[in-house]
Amino acid sequence: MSTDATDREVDRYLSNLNRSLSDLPHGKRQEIIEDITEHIRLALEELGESSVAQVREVLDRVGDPDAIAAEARSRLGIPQVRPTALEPIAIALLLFGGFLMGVGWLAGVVLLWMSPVWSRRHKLLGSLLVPGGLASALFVFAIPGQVSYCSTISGPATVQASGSPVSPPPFATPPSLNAVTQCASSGPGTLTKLALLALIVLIVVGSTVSAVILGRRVGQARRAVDVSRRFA
Amino acid sequence: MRKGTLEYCVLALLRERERYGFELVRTLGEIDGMVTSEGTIYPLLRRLRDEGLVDTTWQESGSGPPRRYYRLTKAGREGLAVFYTEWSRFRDAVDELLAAGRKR
Repeated sequence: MSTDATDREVDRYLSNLNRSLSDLPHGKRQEIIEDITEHIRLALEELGESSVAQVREVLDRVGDPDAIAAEARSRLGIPQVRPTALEPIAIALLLFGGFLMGVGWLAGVVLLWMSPVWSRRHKLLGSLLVPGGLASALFVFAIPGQVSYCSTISGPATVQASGSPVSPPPFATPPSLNAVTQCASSGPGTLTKLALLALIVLIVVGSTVSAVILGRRVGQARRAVDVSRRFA
Repeated sequence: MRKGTLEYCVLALLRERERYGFELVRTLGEIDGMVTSEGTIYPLLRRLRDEGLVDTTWQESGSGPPRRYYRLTKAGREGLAVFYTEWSRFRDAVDELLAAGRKR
């Protein structure tokens, strides 16, 4: 009846359809997806044993998800969302705006919430996943710098260690000729360092992922405009 | 024009008896040039329901889950009748013009 490969084809189609319909009210989107899922099920049932190629043919007949979405918007009187030049700017500001004293990032958030292209979920993701964007990685770099440990070895065995967040300059003690001052940044411990590194990775990955998700929605909205122009 | 007439083709298919979605869509999909793809008919069915021109019932099928059947309402029947007279008048006028053009 159905194999994993044919199931995957159908699943992929339905998830594309779901994405194309994402700006429709929830109830209407649910219903169209239910109807089309049922349609595909019956069409496949008619075929009996079906190969991947046959499943693709069925899905081809059902049609381009963007075309179905365009039709749904026009039939149900839902205005077509038209992306402008502001969306790419918003994404760039969310990523890099933090480097401009943080103000750039805030401007990105404002543009994000003003745009009709993104859903509330997109907007929350864009503002909360990595506040500050890539620039927030700089704050992480700032943390270990403040807890560098210095020890001054002077003479036989005088060891001074200071672990206060802002270490006093080692010159506070008069430097004797054979005094050796050692500053080690390995003070915070390997575990802390790893955690900070992981945090930086998370910030970079998180900002990138959120930019990609926001960008994909803009691309999809642009395609939808093209499609509805073609079928209008 | 094609887009505007599609909904009346749906209503016309339901004049004789109720049909389930898949059957409606397959019938319309097989008429050349009627729809861009089968999937685009479902939003229209949804709108016809919103406007009260058709209503739906769930009916058990021999195999698988129950199916959504569409049937014409009173408003749908009236809408179809109005369209039919308008369409006949329009079609006759166009036919006449086309025929006159050919004679010359």
